[in-house]
Amino acid sequence: MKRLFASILPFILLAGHIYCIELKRVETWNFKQIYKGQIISSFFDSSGDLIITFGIQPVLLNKNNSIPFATFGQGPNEITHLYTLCKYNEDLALFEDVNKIKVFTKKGGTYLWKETLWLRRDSLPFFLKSALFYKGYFFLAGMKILRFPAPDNMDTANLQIFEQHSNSPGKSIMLEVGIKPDRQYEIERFLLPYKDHVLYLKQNEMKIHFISIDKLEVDKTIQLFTPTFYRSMPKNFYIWKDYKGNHREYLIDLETWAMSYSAITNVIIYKNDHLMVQIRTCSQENGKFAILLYDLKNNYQLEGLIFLNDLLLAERDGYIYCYKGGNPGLDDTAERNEIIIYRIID
Amino acid sequence: MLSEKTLDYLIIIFSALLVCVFIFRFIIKDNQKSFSINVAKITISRLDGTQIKLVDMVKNKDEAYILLFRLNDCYSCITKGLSDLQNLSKSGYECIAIVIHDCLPDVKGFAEMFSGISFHQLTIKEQYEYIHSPYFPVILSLKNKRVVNYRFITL
Repeated sequence: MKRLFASILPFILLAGHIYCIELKRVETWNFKQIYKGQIISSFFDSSGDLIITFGIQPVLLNKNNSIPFATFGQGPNEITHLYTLCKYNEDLALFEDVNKIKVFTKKGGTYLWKETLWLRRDSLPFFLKSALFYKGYFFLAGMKILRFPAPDNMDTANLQIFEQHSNSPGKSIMLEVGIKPDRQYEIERFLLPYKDHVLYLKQNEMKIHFISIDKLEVDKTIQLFTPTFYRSMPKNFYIWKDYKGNHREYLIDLETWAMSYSAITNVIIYKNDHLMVQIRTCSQENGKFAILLYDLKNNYQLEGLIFLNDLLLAERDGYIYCYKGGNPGLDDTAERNEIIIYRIID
Repeated sequence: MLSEKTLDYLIIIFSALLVCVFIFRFIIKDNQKSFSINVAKITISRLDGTQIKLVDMVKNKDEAYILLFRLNDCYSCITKGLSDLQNLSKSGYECIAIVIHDCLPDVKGFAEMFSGISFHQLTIKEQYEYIHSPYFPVILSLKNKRVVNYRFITL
């Protein structure tokens, strides 16, 4: 009996500690313009404006305005496609192709093209999902096919690292060897700067990979504690399937894959030493999403859990910015362009 | 026995069917699948911005190869086409890579990653006016300024 009590005591204490955190709504931003497409990234730029990418359309938002920039086209201030974007010093780096970066700088309240950078690339595909520029390196997360040793298997890398202003081919790390072709390249990846490391997370794994800036290798991998409602990704997801040109069926599968398990929807660093991970609950009882707060300095302990129906976008000065109703393009409740600002009450 | 009137009707129906088959087979189907290019009218730009008629580039060559592609086409297909072009160039043929893209600095940046290939730019407007292709990249073989063969490059 004593042993049983001793084993469940940490969970009781942890649970008590988790539920003492709540959110207070402090402000709402409303915009007339409606942007279609899924939010693929969101962050604050160097001057404090929120940058949200809806599908392939980046938009600058603040309390008063929402201004789309880098619209579709081949002109200098336009792009034909957008894989991902990230901060690049004081500017923004927009990946029009996996090796073509259009740098946009802020002028007159919007972003205009400044220069184009090219990275070296081989002929095999790279399914780029997320990018980060940190301490002189571009970190590109996705699925890079390195070689096909046999027709039914391949060697891939989850991360490629390119040194700024270098013509080197880049370093491939987090390798997976001899895997069968599937559609896991659709899985979102998250990259975060954290002191002398870059944190790497995949949408379907509650794991943090710490990538050392000095060694450009994975230093350690931490398995995060998951709450009881966490629903793992079914194994039959992302298997290879011939859609025979039926694009609609493929889009339905993409939606099912994104919504039917506790996929990570966003990850941010909160107050320097906490990791805020938002996951889907796949339940309507408490909220569509749950924000899990992990203490990076204290053994990655789960310190807080908050249920809500809004999509986590970014954090600034202790305030968290969310998109009302979830992710437009995935959640039917995210109809309006409305941003809610919350403060965490400890 | 069939009456003369019935026979006339049958001949009319049969003729109409033949016309439909002809239209579908040789006009509609060809428009969808075939490739055509008006070499004589196309003007391309060198990477320094100067313009030249495509026909002038190939007029002194018995045999020439042209690779046409857009920057957002399948990258593996583009590199496969460029590799073929490099090999043909080494064999002594005139080879030209034409990028269909409106922004010349973009074409220049792309071209810097490949050595030994002569890159040129073609505007999208000219592509719509003078080229009909259901797919890019496409590699053309020209003999005496006439297209004698073409191949779409796929994986």
